[in-house]
Amino acid sequence: MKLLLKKMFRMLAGFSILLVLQICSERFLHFLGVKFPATIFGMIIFVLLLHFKIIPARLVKDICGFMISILPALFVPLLVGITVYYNSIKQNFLGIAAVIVIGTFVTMVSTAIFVDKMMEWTGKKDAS
Amino acid sequence: MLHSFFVKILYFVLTFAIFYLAKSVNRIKLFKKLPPILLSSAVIILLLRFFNIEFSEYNTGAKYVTFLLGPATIALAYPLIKNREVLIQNKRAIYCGFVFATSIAITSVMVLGKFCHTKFPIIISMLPKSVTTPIAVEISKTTGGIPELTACAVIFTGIFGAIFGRRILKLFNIDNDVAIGLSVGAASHVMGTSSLAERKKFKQVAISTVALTIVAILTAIFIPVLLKIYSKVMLLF
Repeated sequence: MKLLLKKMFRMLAGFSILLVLQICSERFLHFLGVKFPATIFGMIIFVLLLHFKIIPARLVKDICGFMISILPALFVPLLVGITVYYNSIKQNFLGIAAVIVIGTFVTMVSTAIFVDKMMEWTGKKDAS
Repeated sequence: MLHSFFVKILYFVLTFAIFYLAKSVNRIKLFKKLPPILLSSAVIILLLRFFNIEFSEYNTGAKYVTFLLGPATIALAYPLIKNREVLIQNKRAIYCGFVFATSIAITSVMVLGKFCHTKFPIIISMLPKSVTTPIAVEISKTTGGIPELTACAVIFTGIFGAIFGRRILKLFNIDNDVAIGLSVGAASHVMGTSSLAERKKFKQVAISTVALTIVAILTAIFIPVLLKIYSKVMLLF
């Protein structure tokens, strides 16, 4: 029981940290007038806070694991929202589909082969 | 007032409930190839159609699900920090990989778009397709694209990468964690990364997270430069 309570407290504290980071980065970037995505900025700050042990990793371990596990579900409303743009997609379907499918395929495969070969050249492949 | 509050909660819970239902359906052998994200979205679209509910109405509750994307993206910092040695060990290959991936992602859109006779504003809108949604929309606005179309392209790219990414790389016999993480993160942003996280490949998730962050920043810098070069090249022909 005590353990469960402790875990719940850690989850709550961790979530508050993530929320505060998100809101603070949004406000900070808005205040500076810089057009940079707040989540990425928040993530960079979080990396620094964890790296310099200002936030103990133990405290945020559970909540980060949980948030990452629900990550795919968070895209569902965005996908459902595509129905709103149905007409503009329909008009340019072939071009859009070709660019997305072939473009992503080419980028992914060529990058993977490039990095794989680079690691072979630098002799770091075994380190992976 | 109370009614609308409950409706909001209903849409919020419904989104998660259908996703987890789709996830359990995915465990059945017959439906193994059906990604839960696609199945759940299709079910929700059908439900909305069936009950004649507008997307804007559904979004009053579902927008809180989308809001959680912020804290969840920030949470990706944890696997990154836990696997930082991998990044330090392979820094040369990784840094070159970022520049390579960004250039290929932008150039492929330009070339393919031109090849398919796609209109120029649409090509511009799709240039940042490999970058996570909020950044892509910002880039699209500054380069004169259509933000809605950019959001669609980004999401479809993410779905493609999340569903087929690992399968495609397997086809090319790539089993190197660094190469898989970097290429999936660079080509299909957070959605690709989440597909790696789903399989609990945390080393790949760490590299993928760095890739999506750096590639996003590089794309914002590269697009205006490459657009200038591209328009000069076009003048030659």
